[in-house]
Amino acid sequence: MNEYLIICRSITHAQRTARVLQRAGISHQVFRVPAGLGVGGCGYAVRLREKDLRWTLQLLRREDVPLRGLLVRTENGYREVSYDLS
Amino acid sequence: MIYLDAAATTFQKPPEVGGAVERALRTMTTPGRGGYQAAERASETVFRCRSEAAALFGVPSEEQVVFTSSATHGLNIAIKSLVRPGDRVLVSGYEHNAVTRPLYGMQGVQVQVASGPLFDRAALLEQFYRQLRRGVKAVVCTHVSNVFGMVLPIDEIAALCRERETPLIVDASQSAGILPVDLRAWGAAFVAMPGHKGLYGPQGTGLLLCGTAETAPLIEGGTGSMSLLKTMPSDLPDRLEAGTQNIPGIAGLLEGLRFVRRIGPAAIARHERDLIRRAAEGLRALQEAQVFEGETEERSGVLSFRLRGRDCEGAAAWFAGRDIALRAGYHCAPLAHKTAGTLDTGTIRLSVSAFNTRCEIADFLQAAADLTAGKNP
Repeated sequence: MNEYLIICRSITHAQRTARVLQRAGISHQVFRVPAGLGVGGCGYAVRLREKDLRWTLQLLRREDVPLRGLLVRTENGYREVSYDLS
Repeated sequence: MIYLDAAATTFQKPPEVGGAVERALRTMTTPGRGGYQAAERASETVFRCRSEAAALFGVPSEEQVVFTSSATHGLNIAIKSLVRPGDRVLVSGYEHNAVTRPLYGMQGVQVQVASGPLFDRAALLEQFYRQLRRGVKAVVCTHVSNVFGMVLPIDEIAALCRERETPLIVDASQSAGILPVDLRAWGAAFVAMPGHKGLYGPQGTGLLLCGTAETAPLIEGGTGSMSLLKTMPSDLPDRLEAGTQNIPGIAGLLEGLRFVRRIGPAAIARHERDLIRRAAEGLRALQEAQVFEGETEERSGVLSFRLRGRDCEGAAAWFAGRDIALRAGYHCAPLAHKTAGTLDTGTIRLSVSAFNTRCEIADFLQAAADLTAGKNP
């Protein structure tokens, strides 16, 4: 099953994202993103499973939590993917 | 000691505040600087504090709650984000030096003052209506006068600012934790407040609630985020929070905020108004006393008075000899004294918190009677 990373621009943004998922009972993990993921250095991300992605995006939209970027894990590392919040 | 200077700093705090400060010193480092436990504990505490503040003050998201070292710090950020040299700014006649000094310190800023007789909210509002014209870059208004306890008609002033599309900065130094403070309802650009007064946090803490206006950092540096950027990140709260945060202070502030939410600002306001009403009534009975007061709903837990023929500083020193803490002088707000006509003498200020009691007010009044009767402390 694919793993997705929601890229956050600050620890507060990551915490806010995580709170929304926590309230919805969606399994997730906040962590510092590895260098080279194109977040400008020292960023945070929220990791979640593919099965929760659509519901998560809908929740974030409903709660007005901005999305700064979305990555999917591939065999060669992470790749940015487009997302639709509509 | 009978402490009656809560408008400067609340001295008695909920016991949880000190405990949280001590625990933070022992167990927490700094958020955003690592993925280890001590940093994560700090991150969690900071986020909880933002959440409590957002819930109490109508802030749509935690990211719009910025930690500052004081209300003055927050007001400086707010003013310097919105006002440029040469701009025209409208302020009330009750502003603290935390507002007027940054404005007068900026080259060519024209400061218009909306004023009126003391405690006359209608006259004050009328002045805002008249003076808020095109070309006014921002309005800065205190919610409550730190000298006289007058509650300004901030809901109406905020509505006027929205109608005339002028950004509003509210100084909630004397109202946060006591009166309704609502960033969203006011549509304010910024609301600044200290952590160490009505929020019962430690000194060295403050909050700046940010609306949708552009922000300009007062200081720049590390934020633990977007480190490869050469300039400050554009996102709040990091944009305005360079440097290591005051984690023990924020941990204490979190407990202060929880205390306020548990008791409820309305209950605290009722208690403070009851004490102030009693103090005012007692002082009025003294022939020497001149008490500055308005209708109950138009004032908060602050009361100014003078004793005819007595220097205010001398009188406060006499009370200090009785171990009663009051503040005398101008209270860093000469504009308010100009408005009230007390610029020649200043006033003696009594201000209360949730922890003061009717007995303390009775003891203060007995002391005031002894002073006017010529007794020694």
